[in-house]
Amino acid sequence: MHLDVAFATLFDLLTTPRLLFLMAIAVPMGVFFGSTPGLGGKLGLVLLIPFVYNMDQLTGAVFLCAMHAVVHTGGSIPSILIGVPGDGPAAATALDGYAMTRKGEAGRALGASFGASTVGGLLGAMFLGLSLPILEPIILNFSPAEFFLLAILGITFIATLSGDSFVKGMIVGLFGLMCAFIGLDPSTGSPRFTFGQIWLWDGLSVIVAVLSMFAVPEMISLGVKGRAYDISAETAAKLQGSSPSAEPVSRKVTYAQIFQGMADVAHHKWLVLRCSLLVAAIGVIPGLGGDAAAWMAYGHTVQSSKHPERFGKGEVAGVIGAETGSCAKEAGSLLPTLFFGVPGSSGMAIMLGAFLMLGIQPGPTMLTEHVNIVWSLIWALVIANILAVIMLIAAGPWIGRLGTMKASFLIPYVLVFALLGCYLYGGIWQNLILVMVMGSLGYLFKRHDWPRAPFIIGVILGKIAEDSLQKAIGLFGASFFWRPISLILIAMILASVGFYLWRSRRSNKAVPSHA
Amino acid sequence: MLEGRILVSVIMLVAFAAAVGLAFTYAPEARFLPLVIGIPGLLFSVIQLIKELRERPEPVVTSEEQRREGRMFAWFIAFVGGLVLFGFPYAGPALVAAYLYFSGGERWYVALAAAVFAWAVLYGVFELFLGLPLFEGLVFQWIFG
Repeated sequence: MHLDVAFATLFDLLTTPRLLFLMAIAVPMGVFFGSTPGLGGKLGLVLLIPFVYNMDQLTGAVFLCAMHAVVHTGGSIPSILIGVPGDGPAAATALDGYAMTRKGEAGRALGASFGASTVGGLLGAMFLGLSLPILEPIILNFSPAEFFLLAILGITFIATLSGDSFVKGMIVGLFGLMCAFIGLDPSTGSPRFTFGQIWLWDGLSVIVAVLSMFAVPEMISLGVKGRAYDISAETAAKLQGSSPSAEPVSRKVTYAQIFQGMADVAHHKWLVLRCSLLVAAIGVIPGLGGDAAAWMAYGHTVQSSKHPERFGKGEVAGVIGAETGSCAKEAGSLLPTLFFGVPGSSGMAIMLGAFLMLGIQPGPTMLTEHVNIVWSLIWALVIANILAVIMLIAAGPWIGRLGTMKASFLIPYVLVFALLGCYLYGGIWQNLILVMVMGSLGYLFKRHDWPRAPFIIGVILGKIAEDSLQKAIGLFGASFFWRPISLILIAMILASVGFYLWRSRRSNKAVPSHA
Repeated sequence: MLEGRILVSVIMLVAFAAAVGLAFTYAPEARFLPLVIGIPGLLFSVIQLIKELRERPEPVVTSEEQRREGRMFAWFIAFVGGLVLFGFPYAGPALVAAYLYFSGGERWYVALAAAVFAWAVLYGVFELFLGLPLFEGLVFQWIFG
């Protein structure tokens, strides 16, 4: 265990005013993005990418990580106060949180949410830190052969978990991989898919892919809807019984209520511990993003309660379980992102793109050469969560004003800064034209329920896969498939596809066809 | 007219077919992985297209929704076009103000204040503070060389 590095990085973070200042800016930004329904952390990351271009690796990574760490904390605010989830995972919080608001306990629900998300975030970070010495020998034993198979596994995982269509997920993931081949071929040096354009020789930038697939479609969609949020039918169904109603609801928040909610977290300490560890471990699996983690934690809370009938009607444990889950998984999903280059969630895919832009190359070198960055990110998660709870408690009675920004104000700024981010990457104006084409495709994906995260993951993993395959063949020949870890990874690839097929067959049986 | 969901499948099919076709023109080492990835992608695209063609037609999109989509795409193209032609320091604030005034329905002084804020961030933060030179646009490059 790198205890010396761990404490040295903490000391550096706490004694570097620039880093502390940036984290103090990043945290309210994260809360803002999380608390504004329809925006969320992915868009927050996208918007901040241009601002980290000139930062050094550590500063940029800590800034983005601190912002992303508290997005879910902010996401609980509109869930609790108006019954509209700020982001996907917050839908689980809305079930009991909004019911508490209707009972006049908004402050208590918010206090429980802040306390649970902070403790969840801290325990998740601890999980990541403590798992490093266990993972280190495994990661360092990975050869290029395993990294190639891991890239394929990453795509398969994301495709199997990307909604109801494995085929769509695979198409988008493979398309991302194909786009990663744009540029000069590493073995022959000949241009591929460049159409005679020299500016494409360096390949498709991950940042351009990220901004095209997330920022542009979200803004077009926001402009089309004309409002910042849209509760899905599924979420609305889950919120039945606690849905917004015409009857007057008191959203008054007092400090006493907030502290009462935080005391509830202490009262449910074992639940918080169980949910944190469960979800941090689940977060390691690529594709099981925040939504699944929050619902799993909520499900565990209901199952382990002596009074399951109270849930959905304003039970504070429901808020605690869901919030702990959605915040604890962030640290877990950082693990595959940093050490294998396989993002744990779509938010982490964007984060990985930003890391690559900053020159942070994921892989075993993160443990050998850049372990200080790993620990800085772990501490950034810890400090950001603590800062967030302090700021939110201080904001106390005025907190309801968060998340009320008009969509029309956001659209032009996000478009200008997203396009600026694309230009700044290499100073290539043609990237703006590329964004226009790919952003339109991204909107079509969004409009017709095609998953977009596999595209980003494909673009990121494509280069890793090609580089690793060439090295693996050079080192072991075609026999690299028979290495023990390779066989495990191949089994995992087959298992994930098999699991998908089994799941879809089961759901087909469960839902009789009306055709 | 093609339904949107079928259009997406067709786009993906054409993209993979073109990529696989192009890959065959490359040297054996250079075409290996593009073919390994492209051929399954092409097959999946065919499966998806068949699936889409066999599914029931999706509900008709209202003309109001189509109009809003068209308007947003027009704005998006205007943003890209404006920034490519006139650059970030000039077109950025102007586009922010124009969007807020014409599409957001804000008052002229609100739009103007938003434009000033955009200019302050673009020029102040990026040019002065971060030292990142902003693209000045093809028109200004052509005029001033």
